[in-house]
Order: sequence, then C-alpha cells, then structure tokens
Amino acid sequence: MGVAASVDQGASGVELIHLESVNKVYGSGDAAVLALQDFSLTVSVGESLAVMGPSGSGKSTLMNILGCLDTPSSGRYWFAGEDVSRLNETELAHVRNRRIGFVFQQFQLLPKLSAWRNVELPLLYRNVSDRRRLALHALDQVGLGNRIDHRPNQLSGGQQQRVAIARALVTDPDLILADEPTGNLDTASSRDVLAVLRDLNEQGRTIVVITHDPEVAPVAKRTVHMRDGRLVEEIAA
Amino acid sequence: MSLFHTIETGMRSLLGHRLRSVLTTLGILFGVAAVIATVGIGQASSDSVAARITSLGTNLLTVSPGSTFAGGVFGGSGSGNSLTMADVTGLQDRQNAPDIEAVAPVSQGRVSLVSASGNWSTTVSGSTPGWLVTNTRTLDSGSFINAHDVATRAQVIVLGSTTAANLGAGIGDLVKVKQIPFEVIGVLAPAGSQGFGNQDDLAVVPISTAQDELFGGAGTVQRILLSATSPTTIGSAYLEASQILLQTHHITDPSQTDFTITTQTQVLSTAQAVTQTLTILLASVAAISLLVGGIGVMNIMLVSVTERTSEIGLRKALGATPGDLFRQFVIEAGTLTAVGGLLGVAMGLAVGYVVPRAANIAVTITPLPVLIAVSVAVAVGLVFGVYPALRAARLAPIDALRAQ
Repeated sequence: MGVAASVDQGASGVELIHLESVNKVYGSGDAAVLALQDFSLTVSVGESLAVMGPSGSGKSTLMNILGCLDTPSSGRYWFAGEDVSRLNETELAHVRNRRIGFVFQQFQLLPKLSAWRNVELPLLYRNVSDRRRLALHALDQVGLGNRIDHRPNQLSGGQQQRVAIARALVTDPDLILADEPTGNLDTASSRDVLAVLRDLNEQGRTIVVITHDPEVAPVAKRTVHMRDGRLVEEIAA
Repeated sequence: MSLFHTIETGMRSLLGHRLRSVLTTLGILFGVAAVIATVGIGQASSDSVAARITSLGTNLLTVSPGSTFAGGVFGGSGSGNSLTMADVTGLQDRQNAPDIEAVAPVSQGRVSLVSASGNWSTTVSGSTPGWLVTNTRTLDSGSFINAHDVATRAQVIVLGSTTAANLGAGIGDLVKVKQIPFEVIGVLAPAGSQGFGNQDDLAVVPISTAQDELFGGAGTVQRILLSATSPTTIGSAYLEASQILLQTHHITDPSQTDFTITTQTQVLSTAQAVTQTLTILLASVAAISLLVGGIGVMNIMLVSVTERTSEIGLRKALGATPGDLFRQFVIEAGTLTAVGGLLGVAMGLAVGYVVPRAANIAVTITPLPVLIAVSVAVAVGLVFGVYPALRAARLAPIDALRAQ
C-alpha cells in the first residue's frame, strides 16, 4: 500500500482519503434529511485538516463516514486506496481497528479501567501480544508515562483526553480523527491537547479535526468549511 | 478478539455489577435446586412404595367384590357385597386350588380400643389363621387366632406392636372394642412403617366375631387375601381362584364377573405410576421456576445492554466486530446461569442431605436429574442471552456513542 512508508514524509501527495460525490440521507419519504450532498474531498497522507461548520452543517455525518462508522447512501469513499463504501459491518470494524484512531469530545474512556488498560483496548481486538509495552509507549508519547495506573476519574479532563489520544495512537493508525477534541476542556487543557495533535502531525501522522470552534482550526494546516451538507469554502493555512 | 479476552471482559463486567449478578444467579440457583430436590423426593417415595408393596409378599393376590359391568358401566372395585364365607371355603379346597397356599378373608373397620391404661384408635381386621401367612407376618409373643377361635366366635385379639405399646396392653390383658372385652392373645413382630400407613398399628380378631359383634354383615367379607405357593405359581393361582369364584357365584360369562383379583405386581405398577405422575408434576413446577430464572437472566442482560450502550459504541469504534460483542454478551449470560446451575446442584445435594435427617423425608438423588437440571440451566442462559447479545451486536456505533 505504501501508506505506512510515506507517513514520515509529511504531505506527500499520496491520497489517504478520497470522497467522490458522496450523499448521505437519513430517514425516508417526507422525513428524509440530506445530511451530505454531492460531497467530494481529498486528504493526502501526512496532511492535517480542520473541518468547520455550525451545528447541523453535516460535519458529524462527515466524521461518521470518514471514520467508517457509517457508509454513504451513494457515492464512493476510497480509504488508502481501498473502496470502503461497500464494506459490511465486520469489514468496517477491521478498517477502524487497523487504520483509524478516534478522539471523541466526551473522551469515551471506560471508567473501571486504568489508563493503560483503556489504551490497550483496540489492541485486544486484533490479538497483539505485547500490548502493555505498546500502551505504555503511546502514553509516553502524550506525556502521561507517569499516570499509567490512574483511573479516568483520577485524571483531569485534559489528561483524560490525552489518554484517549494515546488510545487512538496505539494501533499506529493511518488517520487520527478527532471530533470536537477540546469541546469539554478549559483553555489551558485545550492548548495541551492541541499541542499533542500538532506534534503528531509534525511527526507525519494524518489528522482530521472536526470542530465548530475557530480557536481549534489553526491546529491544522488546511481548513474546510461546511454548510447544509456541502463544502462551501476552503482555506489553506 | 480472542476467546480468552472475551471471557475476561465478560467476567470484569459481571464483577463490576456484583449485587445484580448475584441476584440473577439466585434465580437459576433456586430453580436447579428445586428440580433436583423434588425429583429426589419423588424418586425416594416411589422407591419406598415399591419396597413396602414388595414387603407385603409378592405371592399375594387380593380378591375384591364388585367390578361388575352393569350395562356397560363399571361398578368400581369394592362397591359390591358379593364375597361370602362360602367363597372362602371354596378357595380353601386343596383339590380345586392346588396352587393356593393360604386364604384369609378380611372385614375391617377403624374403631377405638380401650385398655386399662388408655385408648387408641386403629384398624381392626376380622380374619382367619391364614392372615398371618398371606400378610407374611410373624408373632413377637403369644399365639395367633386359630380355627377354633373362628368357629367359636372367641373374643380374642392380636395386636400390632405399635398398637400394643400405645394401649399399654400385653398378653392376657383385656381390651374393649365397642364395649366388648377381648383378650389379648398375641402381639405381632414389627414389620416397619414405610410409605403409606403403619403396618404395626393394627389389630386382628376372628372374622366370625368381627361380623357378629363389630361390623355386622354376617357371611359377607370385604376382601379375600390369597397367597400362592410360590411367586412362580401366581398365574395358576389366579386362574384357579377365578374359576372357583365363577362357580360359587354361578357366573357363566367370564366378562360378567362380580369380583376382581389383583396381584401385587399390578398394585406395584399402579402405585409407581401414581408416584411417577406426582414426581413429574412437582418437577414441572420446579422447571417453571427455572424458566422464570432464565427470564430473569434475559431481563438483566437487556438492562446491561441498554446501560452499556455507549461502551458498546466505543468498543465498536475501536474495532470490535458484531461477532465480538455477541460472544461477549452470550458469555456473560452463560456464566450467570452456569454459576447458578452449579451452586443449584450444591444446594440440591445439601437439601438431599439435610431433609432426610431433619424431616424424616427420604430423598434419593440420582445423577440423571442433576445432569438434566444443569444442562437446562446453561441452555436457558444461552437461549435467553442470545437476544440481548444480538441487540448489542446490532447497535449502530454512532447511535451507541451518542447515548450518554
């Protein structure tokens, strides 16, 4: 595939994400809502992209489709050269597990597990043996090497989100997809988290951040704006 | 996800809700224990009925009056008054009935016995010397009623051991039955009490005295007990007896008989059929409680799936396949029922150990019901776990993640 090899080379021109005329319809008949309309987008390996737009603009739908959590109603989605728009649930689960790391607004850590057990979770679904070592390495990368046995409720919001980023990183994914990563954080914690994301991109990791917050967008080198399910404006940083 | 991790994840979640898991397990536990205990009690009572009937002697045949088909209507055995002392005499004929060893007519009733030191209500049978042989009993002391006593309507009585003890009466004492004094001439050796009734709580008087002084009905008897010369001659004894009775009753059409002859084998199979039905009935009630326990498992698993919707969503986002989640929830349900089932077996066995010692109720536990109860419990868990597990597996990751 050549994707992993090119990660270190920054924005390389090799396509990681390619959406072509994607439509997404929710509901049917009179109640049908067109959440994405004829949406096309390309993201290269090593790029960082911020998707902005007010609520209801379709950015959550875009995130679900980019993250292989949902499939388009029509149109095509190539991820790292593979057409993932027609995969079944199990195949999509494998793509998510091996190639995509998620960071959510609500952190989504399991409260009964320690930090490193949370980070280990995605590895359990692909039968990796040295999970502890990989999890500790990922926690080190986000600066939490000294918090490995803490439970989520023993960590600050910013630390929890960094654990979540470590969990996204641990599988060495092609893409990190962050959905309002600072939505639940104070300004200082937000700065920390955004710094971690920027570092990761500088190390060559492809990052897509979805946000409505103009303070967040500068984390990415490229920003697109959405309105009513369409791409309305593209700004190169 | 490897099976090991699926199990580990399931266990963690069960331990995370300890009280809920324990309560759910209890439902299965009691169901399994109830099945094992009731089947054990049923089995034991069936065994004891069989043992008691066998102890009466397998050579025994009983002639009862009635059972006539009057216009196609079955009269019911014991409903007629057709047996007389003449029948008894006929059956005692060695010539016509070489395979009948002993004959004993019985007319009995429940009456009050009064001794010098107390009174006691029991079953008094009027009979003949043949009673001892047909009932396979022996004397502890004294003598039994003899032919002379029967011929002279002697006012003599033989007591069972329990009866004698309760009356405080021994050989030579006087016991009043319906104000009539009887002399105690013998006490029977204990036969033990098993299943229904107590074979040591009874009294025997000469049949002639019983008919004249106690129960009336001169000349007729309630039942006639016969014993065949050996267990192998029961068939021919049966034929001889029915031949003789047809003659003495002047019946030419064998389908119009006014008496019934039953063998112990028939009584045994009837009694076993009855106890078996009771056992099945009890076990069904217990099985229903097992089913209710299973529904409890499903209920808890559904609650668990709903409550953990966002966890399920997260696991899906991180790469759990529908199969991974299905297995995890089925394993959780299966574990609840398997643990409940095993503890239920332990409790059933404990009941089987304690109840016979505490309440004098016999319990016989055999491996088969135990195996069946446990397999049913586990099957119930898997069946009732499948639906909640499917719900978990089918949750759309986005919807599940949004549920907060």
